[in-house]
Amino acid sequence: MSALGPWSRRVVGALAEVVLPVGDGVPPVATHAIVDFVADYVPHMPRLLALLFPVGLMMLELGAFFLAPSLVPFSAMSLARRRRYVDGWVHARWRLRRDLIKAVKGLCLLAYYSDARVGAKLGYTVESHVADVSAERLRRHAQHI
Amino acid sequence: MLSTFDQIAAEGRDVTVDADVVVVGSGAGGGAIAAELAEGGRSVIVIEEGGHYTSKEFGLDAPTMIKKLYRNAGSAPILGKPNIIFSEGRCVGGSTVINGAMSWRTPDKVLKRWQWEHGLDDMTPEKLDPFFTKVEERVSVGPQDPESIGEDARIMQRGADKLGYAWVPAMRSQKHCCGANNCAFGCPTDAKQSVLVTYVPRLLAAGGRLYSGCKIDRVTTDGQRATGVTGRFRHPVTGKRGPKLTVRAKVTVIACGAVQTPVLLLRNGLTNSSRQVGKNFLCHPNSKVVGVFDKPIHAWKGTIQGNQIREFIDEGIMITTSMVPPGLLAMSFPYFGAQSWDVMRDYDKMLAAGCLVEDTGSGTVGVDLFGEAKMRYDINDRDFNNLIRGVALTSEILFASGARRVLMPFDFLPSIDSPDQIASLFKHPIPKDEVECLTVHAMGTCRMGVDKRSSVVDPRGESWDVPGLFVADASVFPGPIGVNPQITIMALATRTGRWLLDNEARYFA
Ligand SMILES: Cc1cc2nc3c(=O)[nH]c(=O)nc-3n(C[C@H](O)[C@H](O)[C@H](O)COP(=O)(O)OP(=O)(O)OC[C@H]3O[C@@H](n4cnc5c(N)ncnc54)[C@H](O)[C@@H]3O)c2cc1C
Ligand code: SF4
Repeated sequence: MSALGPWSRRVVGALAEVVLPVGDGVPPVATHAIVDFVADYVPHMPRLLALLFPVGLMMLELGAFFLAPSLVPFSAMSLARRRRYVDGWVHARWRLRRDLIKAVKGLCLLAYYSDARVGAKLGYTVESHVADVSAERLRRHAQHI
Repeated sequence: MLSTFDQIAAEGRDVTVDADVVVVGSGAGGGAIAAELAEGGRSVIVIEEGGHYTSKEFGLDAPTMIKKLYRNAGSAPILGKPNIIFSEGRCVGGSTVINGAMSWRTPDKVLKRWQWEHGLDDMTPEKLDPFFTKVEERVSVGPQDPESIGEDARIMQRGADKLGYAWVPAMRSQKHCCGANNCAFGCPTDAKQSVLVTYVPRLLAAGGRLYSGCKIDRVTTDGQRATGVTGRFRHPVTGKRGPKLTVRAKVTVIACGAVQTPVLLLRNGLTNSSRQVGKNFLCHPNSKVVGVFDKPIHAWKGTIQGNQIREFIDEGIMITTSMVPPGLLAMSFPYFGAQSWDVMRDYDKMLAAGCLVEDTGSGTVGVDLFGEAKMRYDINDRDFNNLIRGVALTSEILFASGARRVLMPFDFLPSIDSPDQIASLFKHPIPKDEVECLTVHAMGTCRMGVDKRSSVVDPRGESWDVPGLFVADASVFPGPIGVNPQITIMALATRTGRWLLDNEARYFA
């Protein structure tokens, strides 16, 4: 199930490259996995939001012409310029811009930090925790549950 | 008997059934009233839009579970200043499957207000006691086993003690909860006593019938009385259409939650002579504050809330822990790229706390272009000041308990490094739309009252306009309650069920 066409996917991918952490010791997650995650998430949103989502992406993409300002759209800008441009949206005076970037950036980060390898790197070893406490619960309380 | 979308779709035929009572929605209110009526000898059919999942299907990957168990994957915005993110359940068991299981009776002061301001004379602690007692027994409300309390709750408790702030240990609907802290994505151990594992089995054991994966979109009447509902089976995840469902019933109970119930009623143009359907939308707005400590505290282990700080409850502020997995935390911060990692690398040293405000203002729920909920809520100045005060108090407690940095829910003041900086929150007014706000408590949109000009249902939950049509969910609250609402919802729904059983001749003859 995907609500995003190739054009929207390209913009999300370009944003993901800016939003995802990179660097020494930072677990990598493939950009296409993030884009798939976002594309799969959008159809679950309220219908009106799901329809407006690509419109928001278009604002981000084409807004570069006059907000950056740039001769190319957002997805064709260099990584460094895209970073500055996104920062402008995060700190924009106009609330709609802040809300829009919050939503798309938020989905990319949700996808990234929900990756099991990233979680493990942060010390979030939830699988083993649940296995341990569930076993302990049965050991202590089996006769009462 | 339970029939799922897959079973009905495989048969491929439209379904028409008769019952004494049809209940739409299987959450806190719907589950409680359905079981009460079925155990009282009535034939009951419950219809649930979401899917049926058991603990074996409750995985630990938050985004996957959110898409299955939450309406709109938890992404519904309440528009206003600030925008508020609203989450509710959409599965058999409703929001109780994903809630924190915190369980409190309606505070006495709230019941007094309901008596004085809304004329609901029967809403006394004494008269409601049998219903609270029954509900608490049904969903096993009790204190936590000590080993299930996480370090986050202990830390907050130490901070509160240092400052002399009163706190209470958590009372939760659970049986030997072991602190897996997966409540918001379905309890993997069945320790949480949600409607899914309490009222639903009772309903089915008493001969009740439950259809899951079916959305009701019409309440039928004979021009006067409610006569049942119609809807269509839809796959709970893909939305694929299945056969139609028609239920003919003597009593129709709507229990879709305080957002979906007014949507259904407004779309049907029903029971709105007072023009109050969808009005008085209350939501206990809350904000999250994150303390960062010097060493790992594993705040994601242990039950979601081990206690609540109640020192400021009379001012309408409640503070508690609410740790979430890394993905959900990271998306709420203004950071991205390297800066996001710099902050999130301390995830294991973080403690997320929330402050909730009892609203004095209200919003509205309407219907959008697509027939879905359109929510609007502008927080009033008093509640906004309370929210900021709540954030300040939570920060103070976090610093008192040893946090070295506190991450704030504001777009332009993302963090502070010392308690001295808390005062700055009050020096320069913070614009309302720069605050990160969320809610999981919707209430009040079909309020109960004694005057049909200002309420939607009477003191028993029956529509003033359409006899035989009842509402039994958080919509009927005449006002906010300032604490977690599930026990109040279940108790009021049980009370409505009892009323129907005690008045059989009137409703079921
Ligand atoms: C993350 C989270 C944490 C929470 N923590 C707590 C807590 O610790 N303690 C507490 O007391 N409360 C908590 N709450 C709130 C509490 O769970 C809800 O207030 C309560 O469950 C609401 O009960 P309800 O009957 O009004 O609606 P719900 O429980 O939401 O049930 C409504 C049901 O109706 C179904 N439905 C809606 N429309 C239709 C339709 N047209 N056709 C068929 N079915 C339909 C929905 O799918 C849903 O399953 C929490 C909520 C959330 C989301
Ligand atoms: S903390 Fe874990 S065991 Fe306890 S109720 Fe929540 S999910 Fe279940």
